[in-house]
Amino acid sequence: MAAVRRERKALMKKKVMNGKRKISVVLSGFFLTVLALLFCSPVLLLLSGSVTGPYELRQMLRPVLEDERYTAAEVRERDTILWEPVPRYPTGEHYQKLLFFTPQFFTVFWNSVKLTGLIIGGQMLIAVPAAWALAVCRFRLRKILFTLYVILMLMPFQVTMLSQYLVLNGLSLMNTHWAVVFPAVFSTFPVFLIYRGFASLPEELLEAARVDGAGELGVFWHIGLPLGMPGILSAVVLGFLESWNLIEQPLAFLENRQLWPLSLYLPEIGPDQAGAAFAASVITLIPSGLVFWLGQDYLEQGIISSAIKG
Amino acid sequence: MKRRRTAAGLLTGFFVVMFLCTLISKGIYGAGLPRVAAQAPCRRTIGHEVKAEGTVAPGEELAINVPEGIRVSQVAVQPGDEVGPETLLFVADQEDLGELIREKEVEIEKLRLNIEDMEKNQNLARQKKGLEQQRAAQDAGRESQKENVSVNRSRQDLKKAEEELAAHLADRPEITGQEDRDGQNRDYENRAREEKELQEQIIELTGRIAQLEPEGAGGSDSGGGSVSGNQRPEEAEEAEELRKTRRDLAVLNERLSRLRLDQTEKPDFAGEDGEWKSWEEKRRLLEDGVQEAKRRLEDALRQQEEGSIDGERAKEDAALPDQADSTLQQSRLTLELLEERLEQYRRIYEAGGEVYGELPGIVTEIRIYPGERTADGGAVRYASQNSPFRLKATLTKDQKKYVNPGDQAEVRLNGTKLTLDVTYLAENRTVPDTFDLEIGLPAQTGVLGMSGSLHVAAQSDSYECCVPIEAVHEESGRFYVYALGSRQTILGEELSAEKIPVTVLDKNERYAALETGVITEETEVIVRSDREMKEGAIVRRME
Repeated sequence: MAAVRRERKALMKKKVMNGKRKISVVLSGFFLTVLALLFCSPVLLLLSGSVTGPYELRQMLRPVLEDERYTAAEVRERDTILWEPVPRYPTGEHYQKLLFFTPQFFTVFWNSVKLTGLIIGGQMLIAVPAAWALAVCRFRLRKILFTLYVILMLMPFQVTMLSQYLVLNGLSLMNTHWAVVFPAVFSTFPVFLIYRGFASLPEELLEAARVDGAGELGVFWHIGLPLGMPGILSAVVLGFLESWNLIEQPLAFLENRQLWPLSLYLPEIGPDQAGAAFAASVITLIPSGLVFWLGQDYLEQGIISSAIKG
Repeated sequence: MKRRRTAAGLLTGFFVVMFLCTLISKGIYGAGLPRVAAQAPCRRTIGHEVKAEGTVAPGEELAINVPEGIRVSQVAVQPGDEVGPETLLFVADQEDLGELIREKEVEIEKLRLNIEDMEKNQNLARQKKGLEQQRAAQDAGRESQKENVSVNRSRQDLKKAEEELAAHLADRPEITGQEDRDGQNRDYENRAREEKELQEQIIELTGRIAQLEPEGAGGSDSGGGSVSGNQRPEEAEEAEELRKTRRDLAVLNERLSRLRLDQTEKPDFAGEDGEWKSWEEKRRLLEDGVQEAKRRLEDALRQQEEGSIDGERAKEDAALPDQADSTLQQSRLTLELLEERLEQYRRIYEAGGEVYGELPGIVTEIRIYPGERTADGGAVRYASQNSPFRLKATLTKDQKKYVNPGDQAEVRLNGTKLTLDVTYLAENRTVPDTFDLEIGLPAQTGVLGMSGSLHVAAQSDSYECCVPIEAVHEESGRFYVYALGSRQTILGEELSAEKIPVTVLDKNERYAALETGVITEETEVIVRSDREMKEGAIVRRME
């Protein structure tokens, strides 16, 4: 009888525990959902705004757009922006106008594609061998050189801008795409990122390859590249995201508007074309999202391997 | 792996779509741009062609004039009819014309009577005028004579007064001069003072003698003359002094006696002064009389002069002609006109009211209507067949700038092409900013009212900067052109239309000459566009 009572009691206790766990899961799920929505709200705002009609947009953004004489604080005092997540009359006219009637957008879009492609390609040509050399080859001042790379990586653009400007001006590359491409190609960050991948390769594996008769180039090509691919691809993904969103370098080095990338074009869209700006932002976001989706696994692996090694 | 492939596929698809959209948007953008044709200005002359349509008009127009006021009973011709000396133009109403004649006769008679009255009145006025002149002359003579008498009398009075004054001045009394009077008074005062001094000295000496004479002594003569031996020295001195004093007293008494003998009375000039005073008063009276006589003479002379002037003026006034009055002459002229008009009425009346043409021609205008009275001016106008016709046309102000009298014009008339001179060109008074042009046609050319065209060609100087007229635009009276420029946009360097104000020196239907300066030989001026342009608009070249 006592045993039955204990069993019943244990069962009750188990049920209570299960209920508490369920409540905990629900609460944490709700909390995470709210947090996720909060983080995703800018993107949701873009998507919502890009399909909202011009009249609705003007009504919603009235405090910002109507009177430029007032400061932002005065505007806030007068009125606040009441954003409706779902537009009353969804429309695709902003996309239509942007995609079919705004060739300027495509000029800057393909400028961004060109810059990003050249930067990524250049980085792969420079950073992968450099990272291999720093990770595998043993030569004098290697550690000092690597430390120098790390220090350079930590420097923000504002610090190196003047020296970059002087060099680019000396090479007569100002106001050309190469003024943006070259400094990015020789960036130290991808070297650092790929270095971690190469450094995690077992020394024995490389020795085995050498014993089997592989030269240094063969070891790099057949062993290093396949095994360091997560780091390389994570560098590609991060490099793409950085290059796609470049602002300071084009602003400093590109005077000709014909050479501007997307990141500089968006502020050029006037306040009365808010819908087009939203649509342009969404389209600008698409390649970044797809590239991230494409390289998500490699990015995670690369970061993990870098973190483990680090 | 599948996800990666999907992502890669989507990415590729995205870029493909973007590429296609790029082509489409650029195509649409390009199609939306104005397509323009541009060319540089060139040097050329600006030719002007003036074309106008005109009609054949008579070269010389004649008019049949009839007196106004005749009632017309029948009009026998129409515009376009050929008329001659034997052609009946219109018939006047005989009964009404007879009335008109009678009215005119009465009017003439009244006027004649008026003229007679005026002539009589003029004669009467002329006689009155003569009488007035005569009387004015008589009055003037009489007044002159009276004034002469008055003047002569005044002259005599003056002469008499002057003579009296002269006589008085000649009878001037003698008076002692002031120096003499002062000398006489001084002598008298000196003698009086000397006498007084002598008397005082005598009294003093007498008193001294009395002191010096010894007591008990008789007179002076008893003790004087000798000094006894027993006298003291003081007494001797006194006796001596007494003698001397007595001698001095005797001398003084003698002098006093002499002075009193010579003594005269105190000088007195009162009588002399009274006589002089009365003479002076009379002289002043006489001088006043002379002055008075002079003034009377002057007054008489002035009155004589004024009387003479008044008389002359009265004669002049009387001789003035009467006010101009041309009433009589006007009446005579009116009478002549009325008689002439009456004569015209009578001629028409005697012709049975029928009016005929004079020279051969074609009726162009009839200004009389049955039942109405004739007005002033020609009743029937017609073009003379003896003189050649003219081609009349109207030019605008712009056309007029390129045509001048004497220019050669190409005239097309009923298929015939003629080269003739512009004979007349003047502003039309009824329609502003239009000009009447006339070209004399050769004899026997054209028919009245026939349509024709004329063409005048004029060539300007050579201009450095000429563009097709389509390139020049006008806004509020100011001219401008669009020139091809370039603008740096996000799409690269694009062509743009830049608005440039210009000064048009000359233009015709095809070209405009522009002032050089802003527009140069290198400027590409937009001469054609498939749509309306705006300042700074992005354009593309027409293929």
